Amino acid sequence: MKHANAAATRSTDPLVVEDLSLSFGGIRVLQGIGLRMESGEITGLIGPNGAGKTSFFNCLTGLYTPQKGAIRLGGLRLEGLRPPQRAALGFSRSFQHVALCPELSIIENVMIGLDRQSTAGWLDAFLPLPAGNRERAQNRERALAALDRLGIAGVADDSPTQLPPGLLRLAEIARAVVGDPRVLLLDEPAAGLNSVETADLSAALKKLRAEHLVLVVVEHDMDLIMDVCDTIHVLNVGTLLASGDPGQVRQNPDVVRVYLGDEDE
Amino acid sequence: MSDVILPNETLSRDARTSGAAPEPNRRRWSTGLGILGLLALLALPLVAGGYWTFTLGLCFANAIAIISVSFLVRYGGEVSIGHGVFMGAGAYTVALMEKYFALSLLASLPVAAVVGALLGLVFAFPSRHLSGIYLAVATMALALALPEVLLHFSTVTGGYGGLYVSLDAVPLLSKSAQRYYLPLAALVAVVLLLRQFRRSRQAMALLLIRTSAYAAESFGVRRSWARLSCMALSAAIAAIGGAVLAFSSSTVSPNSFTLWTSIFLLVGSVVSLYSLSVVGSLLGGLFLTLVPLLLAGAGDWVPILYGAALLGVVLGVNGLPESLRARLGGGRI
Amino acid sequence: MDDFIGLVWAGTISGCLYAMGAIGIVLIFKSSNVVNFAHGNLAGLAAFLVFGFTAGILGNMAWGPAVVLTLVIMIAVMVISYWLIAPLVFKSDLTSTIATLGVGLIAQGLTQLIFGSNIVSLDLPIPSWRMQLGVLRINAYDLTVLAVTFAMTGALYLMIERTRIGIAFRAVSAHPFASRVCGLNLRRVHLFSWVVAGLLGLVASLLIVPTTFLSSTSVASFMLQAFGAAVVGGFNSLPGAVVGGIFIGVIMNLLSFYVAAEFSNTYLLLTILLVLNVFPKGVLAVRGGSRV
Repeated sequence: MKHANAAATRSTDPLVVEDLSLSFGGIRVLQGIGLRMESGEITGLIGPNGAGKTSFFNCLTGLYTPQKGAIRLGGLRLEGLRPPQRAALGFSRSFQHVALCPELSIIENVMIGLDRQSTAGWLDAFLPLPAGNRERAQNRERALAALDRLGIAGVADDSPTQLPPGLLRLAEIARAVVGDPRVLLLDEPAAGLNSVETADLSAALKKLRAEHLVLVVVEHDMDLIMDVCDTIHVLNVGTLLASGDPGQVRQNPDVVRVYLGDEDE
Repeated sequence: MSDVILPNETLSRDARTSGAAPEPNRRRWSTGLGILGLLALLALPLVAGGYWTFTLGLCFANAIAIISVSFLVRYGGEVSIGHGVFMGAGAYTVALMEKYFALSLLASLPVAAVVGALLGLVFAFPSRHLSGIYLAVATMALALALPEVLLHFSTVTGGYGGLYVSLDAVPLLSKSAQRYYLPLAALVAVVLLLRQFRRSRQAMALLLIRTSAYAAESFGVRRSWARLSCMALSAAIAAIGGAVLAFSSSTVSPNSFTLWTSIFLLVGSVVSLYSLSVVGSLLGGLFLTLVPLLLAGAGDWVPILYGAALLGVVLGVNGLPESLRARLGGGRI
Repeated sequence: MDDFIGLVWAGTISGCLYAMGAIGIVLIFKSSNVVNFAHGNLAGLAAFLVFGFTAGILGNMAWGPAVVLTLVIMIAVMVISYWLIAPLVFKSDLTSTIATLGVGLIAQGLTQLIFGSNIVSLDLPIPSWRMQLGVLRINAYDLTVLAVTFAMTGALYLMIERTRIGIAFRAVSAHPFASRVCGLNLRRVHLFSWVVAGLLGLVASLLIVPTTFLSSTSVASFMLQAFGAAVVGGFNSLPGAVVGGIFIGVIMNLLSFYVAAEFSNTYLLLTILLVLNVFPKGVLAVRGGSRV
């Protein structure tokens, strides 16, 4: 099967951001941010409300174009590439408000993650030809495997309208990983989940670590971030406040000050 | 984009729906009913008179055209009051291929579908960023522009009088039998093709981009691709309906493809609850075909009845409780 | 060149009428996010009522009373039309819009039922006076149209800027939810815009009649141009409706003369597509959350 990932040559280049600045009108949302998100690691991005996490995330996904600075994947410069083009490079993401299609079953939703790599044409769409059937079966297998990785293979044929948000979030992540992405960006995956669901999510995320995958999680939930991430970057009012592993960040006096009493669930 | 008659796409924990278990049962029932109905339709000409087989032939053709509008609503989330144009394109293709090349429906039907798809693309491209009312108004303008074009090229299209379609498509059957069975076969074929289509990756991409454009784009599905595909397919289906209508009714003229035609197609589509099945689209088609015939003496009542039916269906479905609405309209395609 | 000036003038005059029709459509859209596809048919019904009252079918009144009676009836008709789609208005814009198609069909049917499908002529009480201004030929009809348009748009402007219901209208168009929270009665604002739209439609349709005669479909066809005007000007913008109306009027006239006369709807289609490609939400589109 053809993998259309431009960088799916199993490279381990990090996703690097250099001197990134973003403004809206007169408001400077991000200033001079520079950091590395390594392959094979889980990188966390935290910061209090208004720190610019969402804007930074949107720059990574291609929704916003920064005024200054560079976003690099290996040698490739990414600023200016729109989401469909980043998808072609192996970018994948989840959404803060679950973006599954209620008219499709869970496994069909996950199969969309493979759409870019699929070759079945319009003729296969209308007629049950062998090549199309074969690809459909293979995609279904891969989707089932992804659901299994996330621990929810049992709900494959259910409708999203019948399932709790925790499961839906995991299904969304399954959709994001099924295509073997190079970069996986998770936008507040624990939002709206209870503690049991968050624990399931932690376990699932830890299993997603892979050598050629840059996994970035933007989150508010401190427990999840400290549990799951290898490296954490802290943003505050549009600048990078601190970086390091969970232990270092937790003890960093600046971080403590900024977050004093502010641990929200 | 739109949440037409289908319920809001919120994934709430409290949504009451039928569980996964009853699904196969419901499917079995409806398939069984469908097959029974189909057998009844196949046997009908043996018991019913020529008037009925002729009327039902038209009804099948209208049902196909109604499916094209429902398809655009379901997969594209858009409403069109201009599909009469694509229907007309298919119909005139058949008539012209008979006039200039002496080819029958069997040869001209696929050509009609392609012509419809191309015309759909031609319209979809400049309108690809329009949605909702802007698109609806553009389709309205399209519907009103067509008769002008047809009348202008009257040497080719036969002007007001139109053209005749009289070639036999299948050698062994009688003319009236052909006019019944070919449209029925076309309707069943379209429904089956669409059922297969639902399982394809293109269908899934279209359905996702309807719900969440950002999500779909993040997975490589582009909005312009979605719009162009939807329009082209929907127009092709409408053209097939028009081609079959031309064969069934033996004539094509600009009067058959006015703005009213397009609006009535939408009425039929709403009345059928945007169904893509044989039964649903037939109900819509019957409504469209029979009402003018039954009210032949009181033609002025036709728009009143259509209008009342449209309002009735829309208000009625709106008044249903959420779960019933989900079963009727928002469930699996 | 003389032709050109004359065409632009005539186009401006008919453009004023399109503008009035477009204002009616935009009023309803701004307040309730519904596109009233029944606008043309309802306006046509209104014109026919005036005809009926003056020509002996429903009565033999003089012009004044006939118009006043029709005005009253039209207010009732618009209220009923709104009431019919009221349950849908807060739930789904597109479904409400489809429902207006139903209302339009019923109006069309009623018109045909009561008055038949013939073309009739309705003589407006306008003096047949004309004058020559340089190369421009002006007649009383042109001036009447200009005067009426000016008067009605002026009155509407004053109403929206100065009166309480006008302010409520502006609030609701900008932010329906916040307006509700502040205690404004949305239904009353909707009814206001529907009734005013209906009255504008009546006036516009009466003024078109001298140029197109009156048949069960003529007013609806005219309204297509009004839709085009609303789309071109930006569905959210009242000034846009006026600009759009005059623009459409002039362009259609020029194209009809210089290219070919029989393609008026085709020109409209091309104009709509062209303008919307360059200005996706219309030329004078108001920025900010449309629920479309």
